[in-house]
Amino acid sequence: MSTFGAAANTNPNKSYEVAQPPSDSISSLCFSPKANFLVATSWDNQVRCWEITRNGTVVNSTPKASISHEQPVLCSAWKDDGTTVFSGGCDKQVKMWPLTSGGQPMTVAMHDAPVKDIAWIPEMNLLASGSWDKTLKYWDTRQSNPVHTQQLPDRCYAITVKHPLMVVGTADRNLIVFNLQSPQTEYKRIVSPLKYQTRSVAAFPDQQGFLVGSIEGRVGVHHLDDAQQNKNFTFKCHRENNEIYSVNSLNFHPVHHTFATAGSDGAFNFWDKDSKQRLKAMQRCSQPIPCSTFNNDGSIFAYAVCYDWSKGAENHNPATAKNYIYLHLPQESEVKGKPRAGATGRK
Amino acid sequence: MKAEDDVYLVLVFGQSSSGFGQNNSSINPFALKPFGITTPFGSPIGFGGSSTGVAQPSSPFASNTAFGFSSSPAFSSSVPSFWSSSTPDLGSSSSSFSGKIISFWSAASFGGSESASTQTVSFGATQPSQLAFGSSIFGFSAPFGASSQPAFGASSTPISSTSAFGTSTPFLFSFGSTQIGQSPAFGSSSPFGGITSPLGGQSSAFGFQTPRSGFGNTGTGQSGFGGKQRSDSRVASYMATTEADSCTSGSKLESISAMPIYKDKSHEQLRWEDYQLGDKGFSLYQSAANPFSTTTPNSNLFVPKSSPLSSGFGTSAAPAFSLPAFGSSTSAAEPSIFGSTPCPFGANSSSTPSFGQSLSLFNTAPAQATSSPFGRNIFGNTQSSPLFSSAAPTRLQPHRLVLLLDSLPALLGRLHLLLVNQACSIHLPGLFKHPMGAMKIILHKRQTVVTAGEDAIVPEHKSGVEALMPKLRQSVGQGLNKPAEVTLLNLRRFSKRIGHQYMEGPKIEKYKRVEDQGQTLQHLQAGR
Repeated sequence: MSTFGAAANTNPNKSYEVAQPPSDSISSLCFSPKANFLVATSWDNQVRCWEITRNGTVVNSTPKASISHEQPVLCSAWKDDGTTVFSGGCDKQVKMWPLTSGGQPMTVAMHDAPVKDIAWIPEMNLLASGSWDKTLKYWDTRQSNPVHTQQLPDRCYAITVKHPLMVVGTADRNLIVFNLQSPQTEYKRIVSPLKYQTRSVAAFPDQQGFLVGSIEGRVGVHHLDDAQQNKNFTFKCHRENNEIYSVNSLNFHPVHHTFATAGSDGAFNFWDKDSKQRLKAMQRCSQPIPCSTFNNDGSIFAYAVCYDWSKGAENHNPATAKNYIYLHLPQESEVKGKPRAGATGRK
Repeated sequence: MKAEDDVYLVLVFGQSSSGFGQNNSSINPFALKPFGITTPFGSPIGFGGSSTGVAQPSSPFASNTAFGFSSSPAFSSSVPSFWSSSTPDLGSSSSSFSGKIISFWSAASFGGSESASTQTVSFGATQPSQLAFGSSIFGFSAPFGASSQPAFGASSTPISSTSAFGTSTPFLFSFGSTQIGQSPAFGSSSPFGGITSPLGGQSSAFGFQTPRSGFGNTGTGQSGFGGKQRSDSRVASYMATTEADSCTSGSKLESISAMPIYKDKSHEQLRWEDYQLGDKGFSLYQSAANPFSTTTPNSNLFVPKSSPLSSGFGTSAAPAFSLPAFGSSTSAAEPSIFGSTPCPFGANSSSTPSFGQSLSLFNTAPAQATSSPFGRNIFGNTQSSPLFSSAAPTRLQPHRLVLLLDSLPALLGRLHLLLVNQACSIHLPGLFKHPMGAMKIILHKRQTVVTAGEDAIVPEHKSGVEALMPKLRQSVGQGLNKPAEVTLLNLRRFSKRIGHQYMEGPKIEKYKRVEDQGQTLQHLQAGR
């Protein structure tokens, strides 16, 4: 608690700092699927875009453009062609921002409550938006009405899409699985294997299951096939002595299919779910990590270090608070899975 | 076509100066057309709600209907009401388009108006229509305050235009201080404040408009949202939640969403509610705490306790001292209504049995110490058993002389046997030297009858005869408390020089007499 507001080490892992970070906390980070353009949404109503260039082991970040919402922005997503960014937030709408010079943002989605998470589905050419109004809507950006509105049991907290798999985490700890080949019906509804509030979800790259993280410092690995239920397990993480922190972000490596976790304790770790091992544990920053992401080839891991309201308003001093976006270049040993020797012997 | 409309709206909003110009031109139509729009909606609410004096405020309520439902269906619903005015001039498409813009701005303006009336107590004193017009200007500045900081300069223009009216100068002062004191985020919260209040009245409007099912569904969601009371992260101070299933270890969940009072909210939801109230963190804590403690005295009692709680939490960083400190913090937290209070207490009481178990473990050690001497006693008993088992075996054969000794005391002393015609003594000093059953008999007197065991050779000796009988063994423990028996068998005589046995002669005759005659023993009884 004394570390908040103090001049503690916010970069113990010696990551590269992004230039001109937002003036308030960062709510989401998103890399372009085509190039190293990084988009960050913030609680200061801004959506910013940097170009990340790498020269040997030196990483540079150049601010490119930014747009404004009327209220804080909560989520962002890129189009598959890498030319358009979607952003949604507390103004209850999603804006489409073409990054070509002079492009103006246009409202493409509307909700009755803040938009918590969005996902672009290139196979369907649709944008999915989940909101605290307990709905999940699919939008064709050329129409003003949603092509479909799916009612959810409770407020949407997290969305993950790996076509044709989509998983939506809601406030009542339900995890609704959709098969996007028939998006009107719930493929399966699962009660979270974790006992506390769902905070993040991530779909397997092979679409066989998903990860779910909670505020209890625990991650659940869940397979969809009934024949693979014995492979489900949960593991503890982001704990310091007897203090348990939230798991704020779950991201799969695009190449090696291992995953990273980032939490409110200020640390991020790399894990291999197949061998049930932790590949790398990084040092703790002095502030929470609310969001993180990999770039398209997995060579850059971006994470934000700022306050995530995990301890309420009275523990946050905006006058002295600093917000950072760091870029970590993961070593291959950190993100490449290694089979367990014992497991191989047992087989 | 609608998408095109949206694009146009965005463009208008982006060009603030042009928008401002249009606003000037639209003021005159605004005075007339909203009145026409509110007629079908406002009359039942106004009639049932209040007197004629409040009829003007009820008009903003009706107009907020359009603003409250910012989704597309709500937007399209304003068109039919627009057409219902049945003005021929409004039939043209361009006029229809400008009508939509007017609806949008009037809604925003009225939202600000409601907020202004909420903030200014002197609203009752300002009944003239000029106030309504002034509110319109004030409402217009609210969206500008929310859009971006450069627009903040533009919002000063409405202030000056408001002061041009003169009559609302005190109102201007109040508004100015509010605007300057808070960040632009407060400007955004102002329309929200305006929206919340009309939503309450909107529920009756919704009831009136039951025929529209789609519209009703949207209204239901809005009413539910409007009905929620204020709940932000200031309602209860943050406190780490002890994990239910690990009370013993004292693990704590470092997330505000784990607190029972906040378990239905995520970090982002609580933050958004704080931002809407203009609360962005610590800098507003002191100013926010004052009205907080004023409104709820109980919370005022709790506020001083949050500091010692934080201090206790800081103390828990020391592992050795953390448990008692946490215990005291728990007792301090007991007066509060937190549901997690009994769990830490359970953790403390749970640790006591552990200490008890430790004490019990300590009690086990003396028991072992006690059993150890007991084991030694058994060992001692075992050792003493061979002493009693050292007795001569009984063998029944002809020509035997059985001497029955009384018991152990007899074995330890010197015995005197008186045979007929012979006198001899048996000394048994070597008894203890052969505890496993061997017996040593020494006969030492002149004219002593030579005795020997089975197959033993006893040389002749003038002063005595010493004989070893190794075959006399006794099983361990069988001779306890039984008299010892000494048997003399197969007496023979050998010459020491020659080494052969005497078969006949006077010497053998002595032995024969001894064997044939009956024996009388002093002190002891012997049987043949």
